[in-house]
Amino acid sequence: MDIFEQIVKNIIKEQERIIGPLAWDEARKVQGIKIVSQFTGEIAIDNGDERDVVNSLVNRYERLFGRASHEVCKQAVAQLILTMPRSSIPSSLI
Amino acid sequence: MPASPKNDNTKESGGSEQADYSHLTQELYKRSLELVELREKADKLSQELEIANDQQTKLIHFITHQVKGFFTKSRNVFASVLEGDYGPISSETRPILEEGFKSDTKAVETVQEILNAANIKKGTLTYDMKEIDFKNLVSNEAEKYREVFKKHGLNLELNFSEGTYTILGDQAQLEHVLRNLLDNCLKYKQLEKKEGLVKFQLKNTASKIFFSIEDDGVGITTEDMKKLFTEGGRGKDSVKVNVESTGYGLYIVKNIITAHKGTIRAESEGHCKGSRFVVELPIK
Repeated sequence: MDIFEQIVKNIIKEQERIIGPLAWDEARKVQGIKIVSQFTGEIAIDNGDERDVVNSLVNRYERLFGRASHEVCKQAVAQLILTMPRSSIPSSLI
Repeated sequence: MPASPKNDNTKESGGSEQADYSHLTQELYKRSLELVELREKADKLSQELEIANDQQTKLIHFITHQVKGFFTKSRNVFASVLEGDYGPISSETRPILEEGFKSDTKAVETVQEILNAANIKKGTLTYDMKEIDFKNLVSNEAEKYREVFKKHGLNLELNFSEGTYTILGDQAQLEHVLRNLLDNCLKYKQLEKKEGLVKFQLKNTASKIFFSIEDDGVGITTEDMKKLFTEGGRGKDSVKVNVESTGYGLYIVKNIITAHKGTIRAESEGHCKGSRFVVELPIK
């Protein structure tokens, strides 16, 4: 699993803690995200710019659940993005 | 075609409803987040508490084992001196030695009580369940106490109904229960009363045994009643009468009765009104 897929997975998992399976339902609606297995948490990014896919997911949650959910997304990946060059980090997570 | 005012209103109200809905969803999300964080904090605290409790139980176990060892040793010293193993004892020395022996015996019993409570808490108290005649058990224990009761001005009245009283139980642990309840009649006797009465009652139904022990002692206040069967629950008023109480006696008793699938409850009309302990046990 590459770093962007890991980011998407961490975000969905963190949202799942708060809103339950709805987090997966919403993630499915984001273009470019393919849920391979909700049970094992395996996901894939199908097409498009990976950073855009992450931004779309974060924006989707924020549109539905507000700023608090945006912060949750950031916290969920704080450790993961530490090692990434700033230019590679999706803008919604900076 | 221009939209009618009615249509505009519907549009407006639709937009406002959506905004309300969105606001509500976001508020719910915030509350859920707070709840998740609180639950996680509570889980963490609960884990820490469990560890602390475990460590405390181990420490109590260790300390009481050590202390019990010291008291047992010194009690044995008093016992062998009193038995004349080290030569004759003068009449002046004997009472002091007897007092030392009595005090150490009490100390060993007290420490043992704390150890038992720690074992119950740890779940390491094992029960040797066998078929026993509960009527016999009660009768034997009561008779053992009759003389001591008499010395303290307590009269014993036994009222046992006919029938079968066979239960599945651990004889030693149930004897402990009876001794504790009987000791309490002595400890909580009204000192200003010359004579007192302790009533034992035993009756049964097809499925249960009802056993009660009633005294006319100092009674139990409403406040003390709340702590009666709790761990270390020394009642504010009872401790004035029984200063040496560890607060573990009735906690152990309740646990033993519960392990026998039974129940125990206390009744009292208050200070100086006596008390009654009722035990219910299933018949085998």
